Amino acid sequence: MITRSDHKGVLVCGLNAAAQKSGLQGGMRLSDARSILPDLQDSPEEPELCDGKFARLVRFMDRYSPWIAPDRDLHVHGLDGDAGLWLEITGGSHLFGGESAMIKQILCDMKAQGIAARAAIADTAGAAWAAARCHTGGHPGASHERILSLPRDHGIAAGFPVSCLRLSDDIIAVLSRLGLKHLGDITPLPRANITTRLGPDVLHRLDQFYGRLPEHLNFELPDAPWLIKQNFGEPLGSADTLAHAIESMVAELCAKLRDENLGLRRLIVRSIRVDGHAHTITTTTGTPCQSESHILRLLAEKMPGVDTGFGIEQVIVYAPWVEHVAFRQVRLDRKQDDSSDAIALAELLDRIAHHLGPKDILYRPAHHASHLPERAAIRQSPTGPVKPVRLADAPLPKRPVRLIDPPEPVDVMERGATGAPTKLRWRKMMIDVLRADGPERICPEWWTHLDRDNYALSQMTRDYFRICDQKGRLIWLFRSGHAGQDIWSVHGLFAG
Amino acid sequence: MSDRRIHQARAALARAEQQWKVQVSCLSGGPDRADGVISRAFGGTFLRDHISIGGLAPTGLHEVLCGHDDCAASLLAWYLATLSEDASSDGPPAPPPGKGIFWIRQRRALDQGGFYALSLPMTALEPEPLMMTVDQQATALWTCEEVAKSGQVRAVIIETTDYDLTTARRLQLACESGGTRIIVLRPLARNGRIPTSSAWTRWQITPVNAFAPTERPTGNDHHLSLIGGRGVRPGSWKVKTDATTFSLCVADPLENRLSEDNPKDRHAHA
Repeated sequence: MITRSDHKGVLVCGLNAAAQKSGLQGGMRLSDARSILPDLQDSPEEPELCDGKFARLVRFMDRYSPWIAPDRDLHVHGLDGDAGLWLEITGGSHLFGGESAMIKQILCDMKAQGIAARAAIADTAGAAWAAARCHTGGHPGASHERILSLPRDHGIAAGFPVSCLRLSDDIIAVLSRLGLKHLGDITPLPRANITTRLGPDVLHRLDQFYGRLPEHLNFELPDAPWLIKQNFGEPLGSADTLAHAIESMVAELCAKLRDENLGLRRLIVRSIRVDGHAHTITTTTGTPCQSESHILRLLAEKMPGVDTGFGIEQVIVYAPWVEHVAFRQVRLDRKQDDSSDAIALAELLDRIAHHLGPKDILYRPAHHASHLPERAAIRQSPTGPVKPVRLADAPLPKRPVRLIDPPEPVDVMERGATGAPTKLRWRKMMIDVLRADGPERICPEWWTHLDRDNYALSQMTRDYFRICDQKGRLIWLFRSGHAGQDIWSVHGLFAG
Repeated sequence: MSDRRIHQARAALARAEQQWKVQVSCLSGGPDRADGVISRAFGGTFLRDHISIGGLAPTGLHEVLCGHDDCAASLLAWYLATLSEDASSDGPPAPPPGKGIFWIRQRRALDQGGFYALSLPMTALEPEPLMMTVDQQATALWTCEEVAKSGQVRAVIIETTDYDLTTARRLQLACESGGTRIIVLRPLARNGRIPTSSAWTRWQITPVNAFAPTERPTGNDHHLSLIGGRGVRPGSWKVKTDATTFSLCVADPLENRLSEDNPKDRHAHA
């Protein structure tokens, strides 16, 4: 069960089937719900997570129709469990083998996603909403076939409860008191009387149900029209023809972006096969890009993974993330001069970033104002805003050319009068110290350890020594820990 | 026989020329003269006699072999990456705007930590370098080839393990295609042998150690050796390194020994 807290207290806003069967309802207090079902398991709602999953579901369903409208009204009123999606499938159901096959496929896909769903097809949005919730199915062997075609199925619609008209609770309560429990009870009544007694909403919803009034749905459309969709009467059977189609569509998209002085940062190419399977390729660039050749080169690395199967019948090229491009020199033939170093370097970094695995890191070194060597050198994005590689106002003493991070423990065998080691063992080899410089004391960042006292901080203080061994190497090592129980570690090597 | 005589004659001429330069440096005060030691920044002047094209090839594959001291090798690699091909100039010149250095580190290729950019001065780090750490050698080599081919960086420095001649040839072609210099930091074999390669130049830098009877290690003094390559006459120099000022100075030009005089170089050349 999902709960939500507001000024009234903790309220129930989401229930599973078992909880609903036990008599719990959305909107009731958690304490009331616990009195009915003491073993209730509840968790607070996470709106961001819910919105993210809902957005992914919308993207998933666009394989059936590009016109998808989420049921936002119910979402707002806290009846999330009853929320749903409207899909405008006019003229598209035959692509899936008819309406019945389409419903079956949608339910299979939803089940594969782990979502319990009901689906219905009707002539109007209101009728589809009601049929999905109240239709008992076509016949016992195919209960999923909730197809309501008016006026053929007028008798079925007449048996729907009045709550399927999406009316407020007050109106439904009044209708219930009047004994009007089904649609068939309302439709024969005089319209004027209904309006006088119950207000205009009942007739408005009833007319929308039967298609006498239009209903406007808020379809989920991309914010900007950076979408190109192409349907193929003859499915594309080979990877070469698919690549050629994508090439022309990307070129068209880039031309549109150039006209608006925009560049794409992310491109989604979706290929939908005849059997409904969709393959999605996503590519991201470090800087706004208008060059189709660069985009196609990035896509070419992922194209071998596309299985055309029995053929690709639809290709969608969509740029969900575009940005304005800084001013660039434009040639007289209106083609961008892509030979400039900055663009070429950005394209090179894109290619490398696409090829690398998650463990391989590309970065620019930058200087962070810290005395700790491992924290002073930070990594920044190669395409982001450039921080200085050395801070002019934070001078550093001599630092090693190679830093061993994390520091390696070392056994100090002998120490001199100054505390510097004179003989030590590192990596199973004895090292005789010919010369030692130091110590250079580096204290921890106290502002990051506000919960620790001075004694704890003193153990984290490091005393660095620079020693020269018999092989001529300059080793940077430090001492930390308690007095008398020093911990020695090698942190780097100098080159002179 | 005639080749050997020509070689000896060239060596004698080079030695005489070197002495003449030292005298000129002494008379003119010299670029860096302290404690009676004349030091000059290592550069084209020293390489002109050893490399047939007159300096370090700007678009070639060069190797630095890492023995005991990866730090000096790393500093040398950065120095070579910024070194001008102009034989008349000494030391790294001001880099052209917009083109930096790309450092690729293959994990566990070298065992003395990672390159620490804060060890170098600001002048050596402009424009901002790009760095990358990868796990697989194949990824490192692919990136190196791609970057070198693009020509968008001044030089690529790559730390990697052993690789074959085919890979070296591919990298060489990438250099020529993009006009980029590649410096490869590769470790010596376990038995200390120098691996085969087709690089333009091959370098080794070792610290002055206490095992030599006449030398005392200071940490700054190194033996820099040009041990082979294409059109290269081996040579060695005693140099002073300093990362803080990004300098690699020939400590004493008289220490320079030609391959005929240095048994170590002769062995490496063979």
